[in-house]
Amino acid sequence: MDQPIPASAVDWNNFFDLATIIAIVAMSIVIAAMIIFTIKYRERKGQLRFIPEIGLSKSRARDAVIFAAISIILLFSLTIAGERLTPNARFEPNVSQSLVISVSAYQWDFKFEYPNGVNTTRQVFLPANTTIMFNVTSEDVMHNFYLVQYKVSIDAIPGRSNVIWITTPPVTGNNTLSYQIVCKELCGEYHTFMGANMTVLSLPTFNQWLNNQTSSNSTSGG
Amino acid sequence: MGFLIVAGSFGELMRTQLAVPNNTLLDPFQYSETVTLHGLLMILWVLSPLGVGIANYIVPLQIGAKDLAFPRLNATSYFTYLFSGVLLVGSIFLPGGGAATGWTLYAPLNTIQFSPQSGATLAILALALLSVSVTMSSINFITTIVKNRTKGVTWKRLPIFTWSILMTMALMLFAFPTLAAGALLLTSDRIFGTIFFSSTVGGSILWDLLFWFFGHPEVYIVVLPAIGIIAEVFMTSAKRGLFARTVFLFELGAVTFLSVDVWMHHMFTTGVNYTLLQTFSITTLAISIPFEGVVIGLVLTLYKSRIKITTPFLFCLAAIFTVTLGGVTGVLQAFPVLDYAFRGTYWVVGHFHYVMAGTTLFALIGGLYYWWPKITKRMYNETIGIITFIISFIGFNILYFPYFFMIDMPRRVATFTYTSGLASLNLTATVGAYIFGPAFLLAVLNLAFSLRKASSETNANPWEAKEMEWTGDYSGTGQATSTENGGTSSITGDYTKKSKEIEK
Repeated sequence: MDQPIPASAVDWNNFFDLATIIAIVAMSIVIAAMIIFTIKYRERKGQLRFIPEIGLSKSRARDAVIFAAISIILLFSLTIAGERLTPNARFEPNVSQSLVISVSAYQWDFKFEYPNGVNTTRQVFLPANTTIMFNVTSEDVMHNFYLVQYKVSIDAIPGRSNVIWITTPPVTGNNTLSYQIVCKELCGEYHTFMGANMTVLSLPTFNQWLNNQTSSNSTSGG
Repeated sequence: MGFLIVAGSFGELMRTQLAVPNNTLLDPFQYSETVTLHGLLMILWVLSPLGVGIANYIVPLQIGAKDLAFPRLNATSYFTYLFSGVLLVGSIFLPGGGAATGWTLYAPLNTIQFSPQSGATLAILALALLSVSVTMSSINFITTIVKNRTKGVTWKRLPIFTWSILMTMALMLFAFPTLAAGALLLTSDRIFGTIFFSSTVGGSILWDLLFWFFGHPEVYIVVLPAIGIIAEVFMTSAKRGLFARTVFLFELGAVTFLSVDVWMHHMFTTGVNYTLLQTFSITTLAISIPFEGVVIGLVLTLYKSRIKITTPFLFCLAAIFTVTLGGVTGVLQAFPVLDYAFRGTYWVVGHFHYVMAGTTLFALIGGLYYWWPKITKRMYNETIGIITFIISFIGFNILYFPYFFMIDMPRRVATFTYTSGLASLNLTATVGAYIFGPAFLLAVLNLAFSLRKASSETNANPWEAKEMEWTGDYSGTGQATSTENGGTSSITGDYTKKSKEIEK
């Protein structure tokens, strides 16, 4: 799949990579120390020394405080960096500038409703280069609405409407982009097979599709 | 142990089902049942009870008590636990099957509407019964440790393992009532038609909150005894006292206290407002600091020491490795934005298997190996121990490390498609499971084999350990004050006193 990676996933990957590097470095130091100590201080024949305890002293307590301070600064920085790297994750976009789609999860499909009343099941068509807001709820049990390639998810909870948002990548001409939606919360017997397809169309193609849907829906009494 | 074999077999069964795409060994309902029982049994009926079982024997020895404060309560709590486990396993044989909701039993999937089978009700009642058993145990242990220390065992000289058990018990007393409450409310929903969790006005979130308010302290309940064991094994293997003991205990206490204020990090995707997400992200990051301090303290205990490499030591080394890897993968999940992708996928499964199946299970088996000569007066076969350790450690990593690359695979799915690209990772994991399971079983059986030898054949203190449960010397005077515990070592003192002999 040579599709463009959506912006939200790019941000996510950057944050993830940064956090992972720090994690790997921290872990390596600890594990390396452990292995080096085990090898270097292993018992050899003919050793008869008693090792004194390293008890609490001012320097140990001071060391602990320094360690805590460094960790706090590191984690705080990582939090701030994360917020900077994922600017769109935090604030809901402007409703008037977005396409708002209602998502209803149920055992075991996703149903999508467009602003003009068009309904689709198990697939959703979206215009390119647009901010999309999903109002997600459930008709029965708890599900999770996960846009896999966008790395954004929210729970679908009965009686509750949760919001997530994405920005679709640009598309030219008659090309389409295909993305996956899966359910990430065990919701019964066919949870394994619960999901939907997202197709991103260029704006003219999308409008054409929507018009076709609207006219066929109105004749069948949507 | 029986539960370990049942739950372990379930784990192997799950990996077999996931070995190849579109497998039909288990149908989706059976798979969900297997997942649920594997999780419940392992966390609540295997890991914690194994730790408490070791504590049951060792804590009285460590503090110089004859037994726990209430021996009959002790027996009652054991049989209640056993019976509750039998009920749970039996629930899958009822018509309609058992619970198939995952160990987290989310609402409203757990209500009578979506899980009509009586097996699910039975499973939930088994949970309530287990809470009774746990409450009895925690009262017993706390009383014992507070009141039944023998002369000379002051709070300052309390062994690290006993400290860790005390903290575990306090946390159990705090957390399990919430589980019991949730289980009873749910039973009321299922049998009497109340609407605590089936109501669409917050019923689902109510369960989420109650469950995780219990659930997060629960995972620390699982891991704290393991930390205590690692400390003991490291001290004896390295022939030195714990690095900065008071700081260590303070950090362990901090972890215990802080574990009650992080629970909402399991609910990052439930759509609660952003301030809550930020708050719990901060508290979760905060708890990682004393925990990392604990791990560093354990590693520094090996510094400038004299290490005897034995099977228990190796298991505890492995436990430090897994807790570090598991720990950092957990810290990554503390960021809500990252968690949107992690939640409900195999990344989370990898994380908690590293800390639970890895750290806790390895440390517990290490503890069994370590105290085996004390408990049984027999020595296990060291060569087999080391070989089975190496194989199980390799198998463990082959099994669980691929999970961190399976971020796109949701949890609790019974199969996957050929086109998902997940086939090779899943197959690798299954191969790892086939290596890890049998090797680990052999490591445990190695202990059982030693029982065939005659007892007292060997030195009852082969590690020349100086901790009080080995020497019987509770007052630190150099003389065994309790004859029933031996006192074979002529080395006096224990690790809380500064030694006058300084190495050059």
